[in-house]
Amino acid sequence: MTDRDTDAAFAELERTWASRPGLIGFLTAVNHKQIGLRFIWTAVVFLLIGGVEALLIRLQLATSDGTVLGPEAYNQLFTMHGTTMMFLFGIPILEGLAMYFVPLQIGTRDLPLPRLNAFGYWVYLFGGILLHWSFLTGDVPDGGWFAYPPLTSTEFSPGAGIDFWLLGVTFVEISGIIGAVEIVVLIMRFRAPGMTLSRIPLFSWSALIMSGMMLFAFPFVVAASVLLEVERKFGAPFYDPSLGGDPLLWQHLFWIFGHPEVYILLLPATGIVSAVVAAHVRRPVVAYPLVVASLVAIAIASFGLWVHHMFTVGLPVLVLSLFAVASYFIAVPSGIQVFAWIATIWEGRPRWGTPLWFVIGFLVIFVLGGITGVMVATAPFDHQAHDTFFVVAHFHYVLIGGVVFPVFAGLHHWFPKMTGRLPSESIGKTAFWLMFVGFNVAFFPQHWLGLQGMVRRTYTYPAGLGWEAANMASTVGSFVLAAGVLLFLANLAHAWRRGRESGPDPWGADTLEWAAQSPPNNHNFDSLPVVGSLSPLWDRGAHGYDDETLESIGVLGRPWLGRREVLRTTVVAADPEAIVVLPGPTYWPFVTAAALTSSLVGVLVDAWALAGLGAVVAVAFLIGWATEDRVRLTRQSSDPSGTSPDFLAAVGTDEDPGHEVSGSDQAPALARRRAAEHFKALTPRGHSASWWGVMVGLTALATIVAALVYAYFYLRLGADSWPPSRSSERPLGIPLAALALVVVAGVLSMPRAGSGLARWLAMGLAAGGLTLQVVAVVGSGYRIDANAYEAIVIVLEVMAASLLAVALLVRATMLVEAMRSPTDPEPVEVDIAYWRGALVLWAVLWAVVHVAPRVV
Amino acid sequence: MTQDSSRRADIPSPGWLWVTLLAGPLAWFGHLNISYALVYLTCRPWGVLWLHLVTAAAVATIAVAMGVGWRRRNSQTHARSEMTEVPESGWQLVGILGRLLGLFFLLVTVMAGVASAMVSPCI
Repeated sequence: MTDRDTDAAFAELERTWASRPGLIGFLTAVNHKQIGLRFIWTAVVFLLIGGVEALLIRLQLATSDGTVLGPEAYNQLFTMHGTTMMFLFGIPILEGLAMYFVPLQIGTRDLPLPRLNAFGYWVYLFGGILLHWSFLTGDVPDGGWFAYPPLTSTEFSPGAGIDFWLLGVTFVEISGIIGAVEIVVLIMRFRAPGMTLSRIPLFSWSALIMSGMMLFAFPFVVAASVLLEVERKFGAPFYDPSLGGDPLLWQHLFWIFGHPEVYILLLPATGIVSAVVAAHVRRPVVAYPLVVASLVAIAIASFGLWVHHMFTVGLPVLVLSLFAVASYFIAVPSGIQVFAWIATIWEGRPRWGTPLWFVIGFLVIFVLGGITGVMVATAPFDHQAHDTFFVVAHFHYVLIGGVVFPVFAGLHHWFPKMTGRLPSESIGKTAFWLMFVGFNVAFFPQHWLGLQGMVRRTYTYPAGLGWEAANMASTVGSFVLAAGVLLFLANLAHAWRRGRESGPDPWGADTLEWAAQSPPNNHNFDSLPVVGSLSPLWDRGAHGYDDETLESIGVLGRPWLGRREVLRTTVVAADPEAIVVLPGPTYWPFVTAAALTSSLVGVLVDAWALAGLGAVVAVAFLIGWATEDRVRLTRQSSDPSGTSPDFLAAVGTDEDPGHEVSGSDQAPALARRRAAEHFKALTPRGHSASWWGVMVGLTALATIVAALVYAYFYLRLGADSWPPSRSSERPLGIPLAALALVVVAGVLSMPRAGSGLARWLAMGLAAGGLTLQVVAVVGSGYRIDANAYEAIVIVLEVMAASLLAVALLVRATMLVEAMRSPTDPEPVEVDIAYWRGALVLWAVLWAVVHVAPRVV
Repeated sequence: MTQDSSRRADIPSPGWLWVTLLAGPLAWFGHLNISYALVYLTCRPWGVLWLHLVTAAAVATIAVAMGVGWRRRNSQTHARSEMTEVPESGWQLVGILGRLLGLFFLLVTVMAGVASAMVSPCI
């Protein structure tokens, strides 16, 4: 093959994977690097906004009897500061880094559901704008970042501020869930051939675990927020004890999300630390299996700690002990990671650049935050320190030390990959020292202030308590910290234009992203790599083209018919499974997110017509999205004849040993033989990316259902009589008929290859079941504002009906699609997957509504 | 790559590996939540016995799963040191994770059981 042919193949790949130019390109882009970068820089903008809010808070507290802010503005600023940092900066920047770098680290070309990824970004952006739009209306949220009722009920927060918070946060969390679905499917199914579970880089492991946690944690805050918004808009008394509700229900739902949220932020940050440490001390992180096990252990254990945020609400002492034990033990896997990094630095050859200094800062600050974490996990101590500045100091040590420092280490470390330019080391180190010193001056004194009795969330304090010096130091420190942040960002901004060129791998790092160009071209890799090692770039030098190395074999080295092809592999062994074709640029994500936002604004301002119209338009857009140009976007080769001829030629088949194509003439014969062995048996099998997306998405949906069912039983356990005397038990006749219809519909949908007629029939039966369900609810005479029982029953019924209605829409769309593309198995398997999941959840909700009151 | 294929043929059925991986976390999570719910029901003579039974069941579940994982460890590790080297096969890593997570959650569950034995559910 000549250089000219190789150049032509490269140009063809670039063209195939390119985004459109200009504004149209901005609105239609789906490429993981563009979307990832947007997440990162949007999050940085929100970091600056949240930082300004923090500085105003510190100015107010710098002196006793401060007058910079009034009490109302102070409440608004600490609410928006916490909300911005937790929801609009922390999660999005980590998701952005994962979206940008995980596909590169695992050797693929894009995320598996790129349009969904773009949709997630627009939802995040619009949700963030909506939250901050409250500053323009004057109705700024002021109930704290955890929005406890009854403070956030209409009685005590009558304006629209809390509605801004509830709707904005819910929208942003949905974006988070979407990103999580993407990353889980990506890492489980789209790793480079040979990248077994034990060869996944630690940052990618941490991104996978972060995303898995988000699927189980975020639905709880979505459910809690929806219940509170329904209470505020329609008077449903979920959190009102006078009508059978309980404000502690909010605390349980919120902290079942809120505690894992801390680790959702922390774990990917530790993944960044692992990546930076390995690259900058020039050896792999020691005890890889132990570090992975620690990540998993922390992730799981974090779901059993939520009550330690509620130690002072009056729970039995034994309950406090059970949760304190779990809280202590999470220090064990955290400590294992810390010792692994220290040992790696000890054993390696450190290059003391800016990223490694940020890691050192992380280690010092995070360990201090961890120690105070063990202190507040001790119930008697927590009773003294609760709601004081000691807790403020503790969580800033954990969150700034544990998240911001690693993120900045990662930004400096990966900046050359994103831009092809090197930031200034001297300015980077100066920024680090400003941040490190400023941070400790700002927050260490707050431990002492808390122990002296200075409580959180009060806008000022009187003179004469001896708190002035520590508060002034804290304020000065916060400004020094802010100067460090600004200097760091200015360094990156300057380097983007004028930094020295970095080349593809300025650090001599080990993972696959450094094998791509800097910045990576549209298609990431000219041909997909085959991986035989945890550190493929380092092992390449040692072994040459062996099976322990990164091999260049020309796989998918030339696009076929302009299609965006990637390789799907098996979960554990990463054996090739099928070629998948990804969709290209499209407007659907943007317009769908815009329609949903208009619906949200309608709810916010009580313009119900706008809300309904926005929802209907969004559904129409979703149908358009699902049916978009299926010929061009055929997702999966259904048989070998659908596979690119170049690909088959490159890898060889039983009949044809293969011949030279598309750059593979550069690879030695040994590599070609192994590549052929790898791919010759490749017959497309397994489920499509969309099927995996639906299954992972159903996990989040099931968690929302679980949160609502949890709310039902929590309210039931606190009630003297259930149902209350006003709420007669509903007759079972019509609900049983609905159940029968839905069950038969489910049975008819069971056969994977069932006829289209059976699925149409099942659709009709399910529609009948849905109609009967609506009739039963309307006929029950239940009112959403009557009492907590009737309110939660109505919410469960609406949730069940929504599941069924969406199932009907999915089926109708997919059946039409199946008729248009009869050889494509994807519409049928997507339909069956969602249908089964939705019907099972519907049946669970039916049992809770109709059976639970009779037996529990 | 051929080597990897032959290794995969040696290892136990993946079903068992997933059981050893999930048993510890699930048993601990069940123990924590069931114990939490039982605290409100056990402030009566012999009521605390239920708490101890739940602890015993959780510990037994984790121990059995760990035992299975331990017995089959050789077929996964191929005599390589687990702590210092990266396992070759993804299944090996699943096996190692199962045993490590089992050990961790066994300790947490036992310590929570000790708390149940020492602290009255009536206060």
